Amino acid sequence: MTLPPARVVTVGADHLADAVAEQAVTVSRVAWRPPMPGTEADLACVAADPLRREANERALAAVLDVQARLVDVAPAGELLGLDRGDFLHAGPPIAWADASGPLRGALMGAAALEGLVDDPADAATLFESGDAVSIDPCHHHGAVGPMAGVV
Amino acid sequence: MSHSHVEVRPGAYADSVALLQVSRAVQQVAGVEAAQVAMGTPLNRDLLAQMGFELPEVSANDLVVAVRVATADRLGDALAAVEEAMARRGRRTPAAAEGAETPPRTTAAALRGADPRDLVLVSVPGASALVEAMDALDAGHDVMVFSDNVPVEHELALKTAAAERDLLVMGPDCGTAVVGGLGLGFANTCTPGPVGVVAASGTGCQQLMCLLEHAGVGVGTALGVGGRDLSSAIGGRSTLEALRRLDADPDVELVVVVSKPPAAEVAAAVRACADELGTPVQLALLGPGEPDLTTAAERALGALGRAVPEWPVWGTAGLAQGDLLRGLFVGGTLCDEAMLIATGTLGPVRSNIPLSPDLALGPDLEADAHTMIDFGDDALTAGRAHPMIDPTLRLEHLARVARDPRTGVVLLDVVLGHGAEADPAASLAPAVASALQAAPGDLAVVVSCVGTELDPQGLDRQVQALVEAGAEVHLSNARATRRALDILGGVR
Repeated sequence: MTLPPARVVTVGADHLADAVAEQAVTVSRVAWRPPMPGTEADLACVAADPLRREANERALAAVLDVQARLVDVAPAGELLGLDRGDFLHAGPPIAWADASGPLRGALMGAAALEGLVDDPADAATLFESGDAVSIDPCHHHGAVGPMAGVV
Repeated sequence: MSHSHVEVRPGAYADSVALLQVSRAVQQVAGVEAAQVAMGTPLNRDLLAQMGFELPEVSANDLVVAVRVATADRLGDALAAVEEAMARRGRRTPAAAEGAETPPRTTAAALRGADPRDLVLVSVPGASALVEAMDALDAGHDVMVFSDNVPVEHELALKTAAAERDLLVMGPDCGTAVVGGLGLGFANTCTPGPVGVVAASGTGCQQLMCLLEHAGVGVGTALGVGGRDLSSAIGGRSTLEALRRLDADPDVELVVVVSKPPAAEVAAAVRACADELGTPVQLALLGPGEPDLTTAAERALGALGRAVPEWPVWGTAGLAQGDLLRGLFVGGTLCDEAMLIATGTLGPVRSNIPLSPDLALGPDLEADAHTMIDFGDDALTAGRAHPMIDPTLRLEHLARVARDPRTGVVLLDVVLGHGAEADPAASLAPAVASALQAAPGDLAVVVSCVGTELDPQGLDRQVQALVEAGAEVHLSNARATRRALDILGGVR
């Protein structure tokens, strides 16, 4: 015979979950929230992609199956071909005006470390003007940066 | 001088059925003139504006609490009622009893380490249903998608993924399923028995189950497949899997497929699949020129060598003075079946789910003609709960058609079972009684009550209340419709 499910996972209306619980079957309710408005179709597009499962497995394996190894220490500018005033940051391309507080703070600290300013607070005007400084994603240079990701 | 209060709670969320119950609870509080607790969707924003509330900028992910009280000193009580109702939030079993301290935020998280037999029930808004249902399939579980308004390409993606994994997608827009005796969505309680049902129609499935139950033949498993499954676009993917599942169940002696007539090539594929099964398969098709659901039940009984009982009737409707038939339905397939039967005798019937586009009703749902309204249609459930949960709209229309001197017979359906109102007769029986009293001339009220004795509401108790109110009640929707036509025939 067809057995009833051992448990029903419900996502959506509590009313329907109640109806299952009243039949003495264990219910687990997902605390679902709607996605950001306007993103429903994009999320469905990703979830429906037949390549997604395998791609996720490969991506995860690429991270978990390897062990990082320190091979050398050298100034980033030499290895990445950066000039004085070139800064790299985490995440996708972003303008100074749109950067978050932690990212701004990291860039300002880096500017002081590089000797572009004496006081990190002075670096804000430097990045606002964009004169003699540039910012670019780490990923465009095969690099990763710590914390706010600033190199 | 009344006093309005609007507050926005960013990021708070509750489902629409739960919030409708919250709104209703607050509306009952003394001194409250208007109250609406709703997510800030465009539809709800319009509704709140129509109610006279001034809204700040809100998004669909913000919860809006809007209350208007007669005097400002009533506001405290009203807001306390909001908090109390929000805490209850429609859930009738305490959260603690379900054991989860921190509930999972996604379906995938809920399924980590799950028993493979666990089933997933999805009822989030249609545009978001695929993501949750795909989580279920990825984790190797069957899924029922109750949600409506799911794009057909989403349905195809889900069912294609399910077929690769020998999993079953019930739905989308699947109102009813019974899996090993467990009712999901709107489902009647039946004695487990030899019939398995594959249904592309929720209320069609419920009618069939209830008739068979009355005949002493139980339905152990009814697998919903969604109304579009047998279309060319979907190709019957869930129907084929459901047929294989039921065939593998040695307790199933007969499979009945309930559906609108399928696309020709899909019908051929279903037939080919059925021919290879060890279990006989009957098709119960819903449409012009096809037998009605009661006939389908009788054929199933015939195939099992069981006697066809007298389909029960309780009470006797009065005479009709008006010459028009007014059908007010909560079940779409029941409305459709009644229209198909009535059109043969009466000619065209106007409807919000018309048999042909020229018979469509306008937004006021009124016409100086025979009319049948499906209150469960998507257009009438936007912004409110399904009429099997919230009867308000149909009760208003019942009062309206009863006052129309041209109305001769009012035809109603009542659908019992899990998920439906706890006591539909509690509001419908008094409404029938006042309709009969308010009618300018003789009026007949005929009801089909789709239910079983085992349903939480109790068929007998519901029928008794309706009969005492003056209605004639049938178990068979087709019989109820024919009886309504006979009563009208006495007039014409």
